[in-house]
Amino acid sequence: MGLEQLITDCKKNDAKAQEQLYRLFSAKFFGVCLKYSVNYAEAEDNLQDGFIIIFKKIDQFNFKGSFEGWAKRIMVNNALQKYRTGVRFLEIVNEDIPEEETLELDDENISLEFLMNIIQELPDRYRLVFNLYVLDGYSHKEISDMLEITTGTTKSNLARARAILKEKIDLHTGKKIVPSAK
Amino acid sequence: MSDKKNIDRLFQEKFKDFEVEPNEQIWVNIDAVLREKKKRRVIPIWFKLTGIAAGLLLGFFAFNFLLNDSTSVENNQVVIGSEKQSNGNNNSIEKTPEDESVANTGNSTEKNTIEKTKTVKSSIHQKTNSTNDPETGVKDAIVNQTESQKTKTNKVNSGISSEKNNAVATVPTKVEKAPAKKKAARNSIAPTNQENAVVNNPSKTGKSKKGAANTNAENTNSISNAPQNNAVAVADNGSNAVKNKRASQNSNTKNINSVSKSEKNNAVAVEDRNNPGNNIVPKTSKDKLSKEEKPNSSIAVNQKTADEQNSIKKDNFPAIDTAGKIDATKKDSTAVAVAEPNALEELLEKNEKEKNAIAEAKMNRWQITSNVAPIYFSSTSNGSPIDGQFAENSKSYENNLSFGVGVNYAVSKKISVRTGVNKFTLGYNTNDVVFFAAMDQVSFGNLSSSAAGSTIQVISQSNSEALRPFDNGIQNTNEGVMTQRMGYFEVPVEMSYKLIDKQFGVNLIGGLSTLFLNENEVSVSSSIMSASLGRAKNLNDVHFSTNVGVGFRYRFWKSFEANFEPMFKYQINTFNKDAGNFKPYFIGLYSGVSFNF
Repeated sequence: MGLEQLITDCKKNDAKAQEQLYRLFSAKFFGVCLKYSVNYAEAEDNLQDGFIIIFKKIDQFNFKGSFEGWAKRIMVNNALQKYRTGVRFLEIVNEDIPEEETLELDDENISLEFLMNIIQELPDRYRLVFNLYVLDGYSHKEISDMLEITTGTTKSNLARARAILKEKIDLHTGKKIVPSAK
Repeated sequence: MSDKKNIDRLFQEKFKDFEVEPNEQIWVNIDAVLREKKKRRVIPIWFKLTGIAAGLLLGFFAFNFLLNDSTSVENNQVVIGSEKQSNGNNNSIEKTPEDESVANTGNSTEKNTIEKTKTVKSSIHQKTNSTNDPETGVKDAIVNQTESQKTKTNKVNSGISSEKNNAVATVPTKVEKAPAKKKAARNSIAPTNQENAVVNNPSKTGKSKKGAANTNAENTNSISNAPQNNAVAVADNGSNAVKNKRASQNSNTKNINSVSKSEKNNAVAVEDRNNPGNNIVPKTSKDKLSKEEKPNSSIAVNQKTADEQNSIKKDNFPAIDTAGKIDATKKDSTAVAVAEPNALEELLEKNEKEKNAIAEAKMNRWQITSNVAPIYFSSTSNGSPIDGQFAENSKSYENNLSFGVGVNYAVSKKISVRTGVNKFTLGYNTNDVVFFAAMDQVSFGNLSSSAAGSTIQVISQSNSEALRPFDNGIQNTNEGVMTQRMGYFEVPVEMSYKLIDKQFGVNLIGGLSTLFLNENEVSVSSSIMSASLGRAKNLNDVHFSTNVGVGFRYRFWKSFEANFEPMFKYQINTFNKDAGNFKPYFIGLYSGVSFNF
């Protein structure tokens, strides 16, 4: 059964189709949720809520553009939602952007699981910004709109996220930091 | 900066096809939530099928009144709200001539946050962008959006003002339907929704659009809000716009044409949208004003922005002018566009609802309860169903015990339905009767005598006075009472409405019981003997009672409650004939414990 047919059936609230659709995307979207969540349990919650929204809203998907993109946006938005409110007040504008250090990474030794962990360990906003920017390709402007913070903050958050991640990778790999030559 | 790339690339590569198989339980949960909705819808139908609406109504007249009142109040509020809205519009119209108030008009008419306007604008900009350079391919996406919007949300199809009108318009339908509250709620949620929309809309729009859209968006934004900032903001806008235009300076005229075209289109659209809104709310009589107001404000803004821009950059006059117009069109279609960003955001907002729904789903809907009740049987009149001659005899009613189990299902937080099975016996004595051995078989009209009973003659004492001189000598007479006993299985179907729902709770209960006869005996007894007479012929095997009562409960733990429910049950159709003006009812003081799950 093609995806299109599956979606059409889902619009009719067909339980079988819904399950198939879920099976089709659950692994991928659970990956997304894991990235944006603090831990496994929260990711599961987000996945569940996200799928429920997708099924409830699937009527509104009109086959223009990719379904996966549409659904993923819902997933990401759902994951972001709890971080949006009130963030504005806590925000420190124009944080200093720390200097970067060069790091030779030997990614052979780094497991995906480890990377997942250190992403999840990041402070909320750092994690979100890093995910949105690096892994999902959103621009600073978009991120600042999504998270209701300024682009200055997103940039600084991103830099700090990178710094933290790098530090953890360094510790993990036991590699020494090569001081910036530039 | 190479390390940046390194670390970014490391993550990007590692997470490129990052997939994790989630726990199976998640699907189970999702499925449960999706199915549950369906199940819930079934309940009202089931209700109808039981055909007890009438019985329920009896108990819930008061409740219904309350409900109606509250909904109508809500509706009124909605209406008032919209009137205020249009009042606001009117006010701002008066001010319109002054430059600065234009900004105010924007604010007051829209009553939206800056952010809202922002999104609105950005979305509009996408439109204008698409008209300017069709090659960008942006168009498709936008068409997508708009189309999806149209199909998705009819309610959304009009702008802010007509959205308000919609709110009004939906009122009549609301009044008719009980679930109106929900609708109202949805309407009221709409604005917040839009605020949310701000955040996400950008993400929705393609990245390429962003750059241009955003700058402009900020621009108009500031125009509508802080007049003082206008100069600066407009300057920015101007320069941006100019840049855009300059890129294709030669084709400026063409651009202008297309822009103005789109402007016209927008204007038309706005009017169109106003019209339905007005049609819907003819009573407000302010609709005309509001109709006029929209274009006015937009024109004013248009002129203003245009003026300012002109003064700032005269050499770019045509370009800026169009920019101004674009802004104006934006203004116009703010109304239109506000709805648009909701597409995704509605999802988010729905998500909230979903969460609530889930939370609701998690509440313990089922409750089983056991109960024991002393039953106080009585009759509203003094007749006798056994024989007319006993109608005047005094009756003494037995107090009996009812016991049973019940199950309770919470349809909503306030309302629950319940049923169960109770077993109880009703009995009463007809006092002052005289009975004696009859010469031959005797029977009362409504008594089918048993073998033993058929030889017992029972008469009212008042009648026996007349007989006594004659009979007394021949046989022994016993003065005593005649007892009629009826045992029933009761299956109540009741609805309860929570008045107070704390640790201590109070419910109103109303409903109907079906009573199945399982015990039927008439006997006589005196101080020295008793004998069975037989069965009453006129008792229905199945009859009904209407129930009203108040429930008090005390929650010990989360799922354990003690209940005390005095119920009044008026019996209907107990006798199939010759009820002898006997109108039985009983009061039960039901007490028990219940367990939620």
